[in-house]
Amino acid sequence: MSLLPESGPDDQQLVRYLLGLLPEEDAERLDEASIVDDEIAGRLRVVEDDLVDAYASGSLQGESLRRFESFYLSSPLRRQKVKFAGSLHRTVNQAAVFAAAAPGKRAVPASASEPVAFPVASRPKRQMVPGAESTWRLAVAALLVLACGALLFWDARLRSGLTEAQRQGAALEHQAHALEQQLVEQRTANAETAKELARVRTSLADLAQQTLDQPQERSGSRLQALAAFAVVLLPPTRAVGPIATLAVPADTTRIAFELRLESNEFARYQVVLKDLAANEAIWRSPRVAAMSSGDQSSVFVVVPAGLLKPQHYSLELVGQSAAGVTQTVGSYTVQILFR
Amino acid sequence: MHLVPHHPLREERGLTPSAFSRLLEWLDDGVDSHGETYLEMRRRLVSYFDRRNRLSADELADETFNRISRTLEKDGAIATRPPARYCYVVAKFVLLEDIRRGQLHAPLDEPRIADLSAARRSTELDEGDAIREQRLECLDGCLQALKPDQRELAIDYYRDAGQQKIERRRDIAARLGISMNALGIRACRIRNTLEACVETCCAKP
Repeated sequence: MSLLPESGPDDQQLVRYLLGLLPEEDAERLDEASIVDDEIAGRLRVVEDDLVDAYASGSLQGESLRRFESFYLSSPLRRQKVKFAGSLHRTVNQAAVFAAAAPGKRAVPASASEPVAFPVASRPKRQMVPGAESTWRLAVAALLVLACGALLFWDARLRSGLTEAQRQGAALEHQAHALEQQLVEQRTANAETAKELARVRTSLADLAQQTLDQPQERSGSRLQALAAFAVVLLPPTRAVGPIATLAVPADTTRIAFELRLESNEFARYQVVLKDLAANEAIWRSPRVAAMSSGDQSSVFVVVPAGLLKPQHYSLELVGQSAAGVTQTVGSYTVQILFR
Repeated sequence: MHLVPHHPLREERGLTPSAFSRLLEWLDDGVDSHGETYLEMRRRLVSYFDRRNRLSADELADETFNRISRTLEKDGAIATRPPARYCYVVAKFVLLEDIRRGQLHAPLDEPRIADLSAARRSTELDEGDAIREQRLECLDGCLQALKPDQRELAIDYYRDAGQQKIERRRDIAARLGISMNALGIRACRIRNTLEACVETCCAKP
C-alpha cells in the first residue's frame, strides 16, 4: 500500500526518498514523478540541495545523518555535490559577512585566501579583516542611535496626541459638569438631559480608551470618524500560498487589521510593520492583548494608511509574556494596492 | 596487468546533428526552449540513474536519448505523451538492462558500491587542502561571473541555517513577489550554473 498522499509527497517524504527509506512501491512512483512531473522534479531538486546543505553545514543529526553517510554518499556524483555544497556554504556566509562589514564593496572577497570572518563554529576559521570589527561596532552604534531617534520621535507624537486628548477630555468633563448642574437646578427627571449626560460620559470614556490604545494622528483635528479600511489576515502557514492583496480606497486614512492567531499564548502583543522593499520596520503598534470570540483569538491594530505605498509589507507579530519575555509569533505578508 | 571491462554502452553511436535536432524538437513539444528542455530532462535522467546506484548514470542517460532518437527516426512519431513520460518508460528499460548486466559481469576496476564502507566514503570527502582551496577560488570567480541580481540572490538564499534561513527565504520570496517554490527553482538554476562553472574551472591544469 502506498504511503504517499493523493495530493503528492511532502518535503519529508522527498527526503526519505532521497535517503532510500521509502517502500519500493512509493520509490517507483517518485522515480516516475521525478522525470515526468515538473512540480515534483523541481521540489525534489530544492529538497535535495537543502539536505546536502544541512549535511555540509553540520546541522544534519541522528538517523538522517547516519543514513545520509551510509546511503546518500555511496554515489560519487552525490559526493561531488556535497563537496560543492561545503564550498558554497563557506563562500556565501563569508560573502554575507563581508557585504555587511563593507557596504558598497563587492560581496565576494578578491581571493579565497583573503582573511574574512567566518561565523560557523565547526569549520576552520580565518582571520577578521582589519577594521571590519570596528566597522561592525560603528554600524551597531548607528543603528542604536537611529532606534533612539525613532523612539524619541514616537514619544513626541504620543505626547502631542495625549495633550490634545487631555484637552478635549477636559472640555467634555466641563460640559458634563455643566449638565449635572443643570440637572440639579431643574430637579426633574428630564429624559433628554439625562441621555445627554450619559452620552457625554461615554464619549469621555471612549476618548480616554483611544488615548491609551491609539494616538491621535492629526493634531488639532476633532474626534471624528475617519475613512477606515478593515481586513482580516489568517495565521501564516509553512505551505506555499498566495500573498494577501489589499485594494485600498485612495481616501483611506486608517487600515484596521485583524490578525488571527492559531493560539493565544501571550499576555500582550505588538505588531511591527515592515517595508519589505527597504527591509526595515516603519511602524509599531502599542502593546495590546488579543481578543477572543469563541475558539478564535485575534490581535486588532490600526495602521495609518499614510505610511503605506503600493508594495509588499509584512506585519510581524511579537508576543510578550507576563514576565516580559518577547517572541516573534508570526509574520503576515500583504501587498498593498490603492484604487 | 590491469583489465578494462567491456561496457556495451560504450559501443553505441552518437546522434547525428539532424537526429539530435529532431530529438530536441520532440522534447520541446511545440514550445521552442532553445535546448533547455533537453538539458533539464538529461539532468533528471542522470539523477534517476544515480539514485538507483548506477555508476554510469551519464552514459545511461545518453543511451536513453539514443533509443528515443532511433524510435523517432524509424517511426517518425511517438504516441506516448507527454514526452517526459516516454523518456521515463525508456529509462526504466535501460535501468533494468543495466542491472541485469551488473549481475552478470562484476566490474573489475570500479568499486562495488555495496562494499564501500561508510568510513571510506567519509574519508573520500576529506580531500586535500590544495584541492579545497582551488574549489573555493573557482567558486569565488564563478560567483563574480554571475549577474549582480543572481549573485545577490544566491548569497541571500544559501546563507544562514535553520529557522533564520527559512525566514530569510520567505522575505526574499515576498520581496520578489513569487512563491517559495518558484524561488527555490530559481536558486537551484543559479546553483547548477555555479556547479558547472566550478567543475570547468577545477578541471583546468
